[in-house]
Amino acid sequence: MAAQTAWEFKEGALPEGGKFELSPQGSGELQQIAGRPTTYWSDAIRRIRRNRLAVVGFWIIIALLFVAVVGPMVSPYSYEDQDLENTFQSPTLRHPFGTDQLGRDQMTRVMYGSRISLAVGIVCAALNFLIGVTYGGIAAYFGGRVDDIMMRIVDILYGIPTLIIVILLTVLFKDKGVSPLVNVFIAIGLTYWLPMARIVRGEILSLKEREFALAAKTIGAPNNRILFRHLIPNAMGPIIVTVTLEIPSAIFTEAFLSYIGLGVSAPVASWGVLASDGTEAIRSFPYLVLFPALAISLTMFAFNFLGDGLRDALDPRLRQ
Amino acid sequence: MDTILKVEHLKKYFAVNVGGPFTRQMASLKAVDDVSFDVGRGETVGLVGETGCGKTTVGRTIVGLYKPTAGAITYCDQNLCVLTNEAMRKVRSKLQMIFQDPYASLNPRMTVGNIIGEPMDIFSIGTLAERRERVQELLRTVGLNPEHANRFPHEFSGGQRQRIGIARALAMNPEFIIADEPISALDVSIQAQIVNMLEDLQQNLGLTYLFIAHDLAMVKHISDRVIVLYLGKVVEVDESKDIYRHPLHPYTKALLSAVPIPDPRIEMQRQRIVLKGDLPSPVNPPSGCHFRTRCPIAQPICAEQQPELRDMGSGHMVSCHFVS
Amino acid sequence: MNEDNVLMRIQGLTTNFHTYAGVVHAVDDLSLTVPKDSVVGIVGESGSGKSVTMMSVMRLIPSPPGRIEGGNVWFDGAALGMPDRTEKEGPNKGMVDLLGLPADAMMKVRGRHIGMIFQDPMVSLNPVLTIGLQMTESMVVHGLATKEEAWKRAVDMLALVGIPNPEERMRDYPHQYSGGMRQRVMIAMALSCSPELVIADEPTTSLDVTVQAQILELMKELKAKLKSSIIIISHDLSIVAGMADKVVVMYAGRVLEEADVYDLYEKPGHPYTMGLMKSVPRLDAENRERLVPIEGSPPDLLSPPAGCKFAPRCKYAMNICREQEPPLVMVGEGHRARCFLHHPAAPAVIGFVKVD
Ligand SMILES: Nc1ncnc2c1ncn2[C@@H]1O[C@H](COP(=O)(O)OP(=O)(O)OP(=O)(O)O)[C@@H](O)[C@H]1O
Ligand SMILES: Nc1ncnc2c1ncn2[C@@H]1O[C@H](COP(=O)(O)OP(=O)(O)O)[C@@H](O)[C@H]1O
Ligand code: SF4
Ligand code: SF4
Ligand SMILES: [Mg+2]
Ligand SMILES: [Mg+2]
Repeated sequence: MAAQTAWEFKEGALPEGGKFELSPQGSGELQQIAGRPTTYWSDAIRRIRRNRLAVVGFWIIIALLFVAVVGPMVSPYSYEDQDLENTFQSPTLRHPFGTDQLGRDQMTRVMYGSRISLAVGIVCAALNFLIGVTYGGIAAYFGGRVDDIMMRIVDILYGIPTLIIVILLTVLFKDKGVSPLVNVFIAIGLTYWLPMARIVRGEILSLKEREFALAAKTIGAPNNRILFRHLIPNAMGPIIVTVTLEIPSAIFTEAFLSYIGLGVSAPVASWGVLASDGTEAIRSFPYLVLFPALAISLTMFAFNFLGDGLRDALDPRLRQ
Repeated sequence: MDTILKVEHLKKYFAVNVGGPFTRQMASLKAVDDVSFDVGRGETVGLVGETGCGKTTVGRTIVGLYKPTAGAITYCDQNLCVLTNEAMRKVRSKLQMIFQDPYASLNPRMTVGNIIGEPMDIFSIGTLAERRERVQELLRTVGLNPEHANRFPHEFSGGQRQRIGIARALAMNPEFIIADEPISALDVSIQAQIVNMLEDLQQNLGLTYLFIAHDLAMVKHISDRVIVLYLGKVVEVDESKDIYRHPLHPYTKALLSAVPIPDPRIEMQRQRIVLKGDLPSPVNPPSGCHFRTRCPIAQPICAEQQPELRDMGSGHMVSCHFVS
Repeated sequence: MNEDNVLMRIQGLTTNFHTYAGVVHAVDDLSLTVPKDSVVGIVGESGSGKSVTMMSVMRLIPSPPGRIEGGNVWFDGAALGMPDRTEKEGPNKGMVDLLGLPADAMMKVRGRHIGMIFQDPMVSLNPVLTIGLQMTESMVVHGLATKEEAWKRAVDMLALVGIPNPEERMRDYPHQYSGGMRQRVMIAMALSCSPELVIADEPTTSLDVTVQAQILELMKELKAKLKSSIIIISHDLSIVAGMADKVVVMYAGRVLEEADVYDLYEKPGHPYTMGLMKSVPRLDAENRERLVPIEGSPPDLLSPPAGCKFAPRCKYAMNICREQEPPLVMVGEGHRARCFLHHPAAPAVIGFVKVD
C-alpha cells in the first residue's frame, strides 16, 4: 500500500479554498426523527396485504356480510314461501340453487342462513370481547388468589361440553316459548369466551411485568387505567387473532347443533338445518346438501385464512 | 444539608420456587437485606454493584412498586411504608423513576405526547390545552422537537426514547428521581448526552438523584456519594472522589480494578484483582460475610461472623472484619 | 506491510438488507486487513455494521433480506489447504476468496478455520444437548479427532478456560452454567479446532464488570498461549485498549479510522474517535470534568447523508464534507483515517494531529 492515498475529488481538480472552512451544523439543536410516521396497525395492514390467502379470506367475509344483509331483501322469494308445484327442482336460472322438498328457493334459504351464522359469529365475538378479555385481564392483573379462583372457574366451565349445555338448556326451556336459537346463543355464550380468557391472561401476565406498566404505576395510574389503557391495547394482536379463529368455530357449532336437531329448526333456515334436510335426499338431489355445505366450508376457510394471516401480521416476534 | 430520603433497615424478600419445574418448593430470596442509607436534598447518590445484587429492588421499593418486607422508608418526614394507596399515589408525583430499558419502558401503543402528559391526565391537572402546552415544553426541555408529540415511541432511537422517559418523570415537577441504569442500554456517544442533560436538569430544577448503575466510572463521574451493594447488603459507602483513591472493602477494590481504562499504556500493564467465580445465589447466601466465597483475603472468622457496617470517619462506612 | 503476513483481507465488502422500507446499507465498501498472529479490535456504536461485517465473512447473513453485494474476503490459502482455489498471481497470490467458495467448502471453513464467539452465549448454545456433546461435535464433524480424542481434548479445553472439574461439567447442560461460565465454554468451543482466526463479537457485553474482567484476562492469557489471530468487536473503546494490536473504528458501515493501538489513543486522526474518547468518563480522572458528548444520533442507514457520514454530528464539518465522502487516507505508519481535516487545505484544529 502506498504511503499516502491520493486525494480524489469529484470534479477532478482541487476544490476552491472556501470549501475547507469550518462550518459545523449548529449543535444544541432539538433532535429530529427521520422517516414517515408509522404505526403498529399500518405496519400490520401492510404485512397482511402481502398474504394472498388472508386477503381472499377477508373479501369472502365481506361478500358474505353483504349477501347476508342484502341478499334476502332483494330476492324475489322469501325463505318460507312454499311452492308445492315446484318441489325438488334442479338448479335453473329462476332457482340457481334449485328448490327443496316444499318448493322453497334454496338460494334464498342459504342467504338467509348466512344471517343466522353471522349473528352467531357476532354474538361470539362480542362475548369474547366483553367477558373473555375483561375476565382474563382482571385475573392476570390482580394475580395471586384472585387469579387462582377465577381460573379454576374457567377450568370447570371448560370441562363441560357444549353439547351437554345445549341439551340441558333444551330440556330446561322446553315449552317455555323460548326460541331454540336463544339456546344456541346461551351455549355459545357460556363456552366461547373461555379460550379468550386464557389467552388474554397469558398475555397480560407477561405484559404487566414490562417496564411501561411499572412506569404507569410510578406516575400514579390507578389499576383500571393500567389494565385498560396500557395492558389490553398491547394484547390486541393476539385478541384479534383469537376472535377471528373463534368465530368460525362458533358458526360451525351452531350448524352442527342444528344439523343434529338441537339448534334452530324448520322453517327457519340455518345452514345446519339446510344441510340436515338435504342429507335426507342426498341420493336423488345432492345439490340440496351441496350448497349449504359449500357455504359452511367457505366461511370456515375464509375466517381461518384471515386468522392465520392476522397471526403472522400481528405477531410481534415477526415484526421487522 | 437536610435529609430528603432516609432508608432504614430495608429488607425485601421475594418468595421463589426452587423446586424445579414440577415440584413446588418455596424459598425466600433475599434481594435486599438490611440496607440503610440517607440522601440529602440536592445530592446525587450512586448505587453500584453486580447484576442481581439488589439495586433495582431498592429503587422500586422506594417508589412503592414493591412492598418492603421490613424496614422504613422516610421521605420528607413521611413514612412511605405506612401510607395508604391513595396517599402514596400523591407522594409519588414528587418521587419519580427513570427506567433502564428505553425500549420497554414506553407504552408502544401510545403517542409520545400522551405518554408524557399521562401523569397530568391522571391527576387532572390543567385543561387539555395547558397539558399540551406543558408536553411541548417538556419535550423541548429534554432536547426533542415538540412537533414529534404525536409520533409513537418505536420511531425514536434509544437515546431519544430515554429522553422521553425523562420528560415523563419531569412532568409532575418531582423533587427526587431514581434513575435505574438510565444509560446502560445506550450507545457510548449518546450516554454523555443523557448524563449531561441529567446534570443540567439537576442544576436548573434542584433535583435529587439516586443514580443506579453498574458502570463505576460513570457513577464516580455523576455522584457525590457512592453506595456499593453486594448480595443485598451495603459493603461500602464513601464520597465518590475518595472511593477511587482509597477503597477499603476488598469487593470495592475488585470492582474498581475490573473497570477497563481507555488507555493502552495503562491497560496493557494493569494488574487486575480478578475475582474468582460468580455471584452466589441470593436464595442461600454464604454464611458470615456474604463476600467470603470470592474474597481474596478471607479468613476463617469471615465464615462465622457477619461484619458490621462501621464508620471509618467522615461518613466512610465499610463492612469488613479486616479493615481498620 | 509484509504481504506474507496477512491472514485475512476484506476488500470492498458491501452488504445490504433489502427491507420493505428500503435498502439498508449495513456495510459499504469496507476494507480491512487482519495480520497473522495479531489481535484486531473493531469498535463502533450499535448499528455501525460490526456484526454484519463478521457475519458476511462467515457467510451467515440471513438471506433474504440480506445480500452481500460485492467485495472479496481473502483468507490465507496455505491455512485452508485448498490449493485448487488459491489465487495464482496478483496482489492476493496464495489467498482464497471466501465469498467465492461453494457452500460445502465454506462449511469446512466455519468452526475449523474461523471460530466465533457471540455476545449472548445462551442463544448460541443448544439448551437440550450437554456441553460435552456440543464441544466434541465440531471436532468430530471436521474429522480432526475420533470421539474419544475429541472428548479428551474438550476436557483439556474446558480446563484451559478455567472451568473447575471439567470432567464432570462436560455432562451438564448449558442452563446449569452461569453466564460467565457459558462464555468460557463458548471460548473453549471456538478454540477447540485450533482455528487460525477467532472472531469475538462483543464477548463481554452481556456480562457483569467483574465477570467481564475475568473473561478479558482469560482472552489475554490465551492470546499469549495460542497461535490464533483474534478479532475482538466491542462498542467500548476501553475494552479493546488492553488487548488489541490494531484498532479499527467503524461508523455507518465504513472504516473511519484504523491504527496501531497506541497511535489511535494518543493521536486519534478522526473527530469521531476523538469524540468517543471525550464522551466517556475516566475512572482515573482527578477532577470531575463535564463530559463532551457527540451531539445528534447515528445516521439512518436507509438514507445516509451525502458526503461524510459523520458530518451532521461533526464539530469540524466543512462545506466539502457535506458534498463528498472523504477517502480513507494514510496519515501515518499503518494509520488510515477518513477525514478531510487531513487535507493540506483544511484548517488546523486543536487536538487534531494532521499529517503533512
Ligand atoms: N419480582 C421478583 N421476584 C423474584 N425475585 C426477584 C424479583 N425481582 C428481583 N428479584 C431477584 O432479586 C435479586 C435482586 O434483583 P435486582 O433486580 O434488584 O438486581 P439489580 O442489582 O438491579 O441487578 P441488575 O444489574 O441486573 O439490574 C435478584 O436475584 C433477582 O433475581
Ligand atoms: N436481518 C436484518 N435485516 C435488516 N437490517 C439488518 C439486519 N441485520 C442487521 N441489519 C442492519 O444492519 C446494520 C448494522 O448492523 P450490525 O452489524 O448488527 O451492527 P453492530 O455494529 O451493532 O454489530 C444496522 O442498521 C442493522 O439494523
Ligand atoms: S469480612 Fe472477610 S470475607 Fe468479608 S470482605 Fe472482609 S475479609 Fe473478605
Ligand atoms: S470529513 Fe469533515 S465531517 Fe467528516 S469527520 Fe472529517 S471534518 Fe468531520
Ligand atoms: Mg437492575
Ligand atoms: Mg452487533
